[in-house]
Amino acid sequence: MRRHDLLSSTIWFCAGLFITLYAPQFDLGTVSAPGSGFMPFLAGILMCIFSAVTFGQAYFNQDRKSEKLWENIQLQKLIFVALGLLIYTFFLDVVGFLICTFLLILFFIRFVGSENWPKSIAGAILTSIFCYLLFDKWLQANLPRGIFGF
Amino acid sequence: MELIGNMLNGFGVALQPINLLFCFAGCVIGTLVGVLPGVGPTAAISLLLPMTFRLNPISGIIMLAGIYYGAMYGGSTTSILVNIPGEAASVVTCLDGYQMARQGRAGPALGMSAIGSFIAGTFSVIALMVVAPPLAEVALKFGPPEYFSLMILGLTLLSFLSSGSIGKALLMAGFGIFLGTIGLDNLTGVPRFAFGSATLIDGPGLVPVVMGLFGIGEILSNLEQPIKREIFEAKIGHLLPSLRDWVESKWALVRGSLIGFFLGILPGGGAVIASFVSYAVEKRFSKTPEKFGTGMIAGVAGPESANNSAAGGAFIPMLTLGIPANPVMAILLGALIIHGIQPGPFLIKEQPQLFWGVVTSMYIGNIMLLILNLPLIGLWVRALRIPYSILFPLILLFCLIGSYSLKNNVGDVFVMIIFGFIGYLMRKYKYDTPPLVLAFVLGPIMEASLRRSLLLSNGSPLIFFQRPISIGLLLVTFLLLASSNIPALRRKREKIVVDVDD
Repeated sequence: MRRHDLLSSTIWFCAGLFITLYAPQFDLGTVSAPGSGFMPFLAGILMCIFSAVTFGQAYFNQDRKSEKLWENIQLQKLIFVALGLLIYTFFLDVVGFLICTFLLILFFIRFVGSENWPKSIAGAILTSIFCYLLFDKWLQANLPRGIFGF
Repeated sequence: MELIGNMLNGFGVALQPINLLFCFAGCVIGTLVGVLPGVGPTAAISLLLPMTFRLNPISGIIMLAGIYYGAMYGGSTTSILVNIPGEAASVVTCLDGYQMARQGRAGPALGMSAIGSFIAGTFSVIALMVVAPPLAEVALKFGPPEYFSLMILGLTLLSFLSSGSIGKALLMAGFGIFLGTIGLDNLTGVPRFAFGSATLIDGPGLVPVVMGLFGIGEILSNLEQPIKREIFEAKIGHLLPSLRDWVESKWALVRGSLIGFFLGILPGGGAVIASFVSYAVEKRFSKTPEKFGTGMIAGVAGPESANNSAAGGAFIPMLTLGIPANPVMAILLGALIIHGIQPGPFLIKEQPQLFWGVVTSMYIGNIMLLILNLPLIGLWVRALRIPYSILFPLILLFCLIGSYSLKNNVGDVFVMIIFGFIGYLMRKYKYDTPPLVLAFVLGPIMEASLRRSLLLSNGSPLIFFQRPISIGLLLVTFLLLASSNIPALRRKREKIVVDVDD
């Protein structure tokens, strides 16, 4: 984990530094009357301190065993899920819940779950109708209807 | 006498048909979640949280609580039959439970696990009834400095007991505190770190953040590797343990219940640590410790009672102090706040129907779970046959609908997706999520306590060291941090961490 810890703690340190430097814009106040920026400022400092500690621990770690986190993983599935979720969210309000959900579930079962077409289509139809009835009709969650009106 | 009166009132609430229905629903969902590997109780509760917004708060909390302790029951089934723990608190049950199943004794292992869970669950509910009201009285003496110190202790303890580096856990706590500050400042009304986004003005909601971290994050981690499942095809046989099993398990049940309850109260302790500690204690007390891991029934009875007892104990700090002991309690705390109820020392006095109704429903829930888990065990085993390729799109869809239906805002869905990927990367790079969630929920309360304390003392931080309860809590925090640098203690902690990871 050594190399990965060095990288991740550097990213966290940068995030903490950004928060610490940005927080004074919201007024740090005084010690007797802390302002709105006081707590984020403290949180940013905490993040900087503990990411530096993590970096230091990784740097002085004697264990040189390298762990390959990104090897032998099904990266294609992860990319498909990410794309599916983002596209679904972009089009949800415009296209409507039923059509979007049918297409998303079909895509997931067929291309991520690697099931055959008939099973995927049946799963997508059943899931989208079941969720529509449960959330929209029964729980009145007001799911988006989109340009087609359903 | 007052306790009996309160209990009767509680049963009056819990036995109302609508509450019985939601208690049953919670127990069924909880058992299912416990049985299915890859879906934890935290993810399930965050998935169903938005559904409870349209219910009355008592029914909603009864159902969510049912999912939590129900998952503890169900988790053992997969540990015993398939050697795959349904959730983390049942990891240790695999050691002896699966060996018993291989020897044709799956029935008594499942039976002892369900009965032990029932006994421990009942014990913890009774202890909760007895301990919570006096603790709430003590908590009334807490002012802002005591609350602040208590939360510092809680976060440190959780980081100390987390499954990796303390530095990383505290880093996550810092990030959680920051997330809690995004949005309008409650005291001044100034928007912070919103960058003009309408979604971020109210802060990133608890539901999208938790659903992302636990729901989406867990799914992405599972999809990364092919999931292999083998179902134990041997007959389960009779479920009731023999007289000899009882003799071998009776003290394990007692010790497990006690250990679980006390570790459940501690922030960060919870069901996982309780089950491991119970297993270690049983091994130490056993006349044949070398046989542990080969199918000893005490190795099933102890941890299973400990994790159920811990589930009950965890409600104490949340209901009496308003401080959650683990992420599940943090979500329940968030649920109460969304319903307009402030958990804390006044909860028992101001909302007796809710407190006693929920606590007594847990007793009823334990009886329901015993029935669900003994005669219906075959049904749950069948649930294991649901292929993951069908299950994961459903969970993802529930996450999407859950975060959208909060405010009918697509922005919340984006927040959830972003936190899903953060959660996935955190798992990959071994950063613990519980300190983040706990700090996120506690952040706003912590900020208010800190600012009020400093206002009270005219800016002197000495206020935290001048009040006895506050200094006591800070002293424990300091000792914990210092002990993590003592080599012998550090090795012991690391050993527990390795055991949990294995």
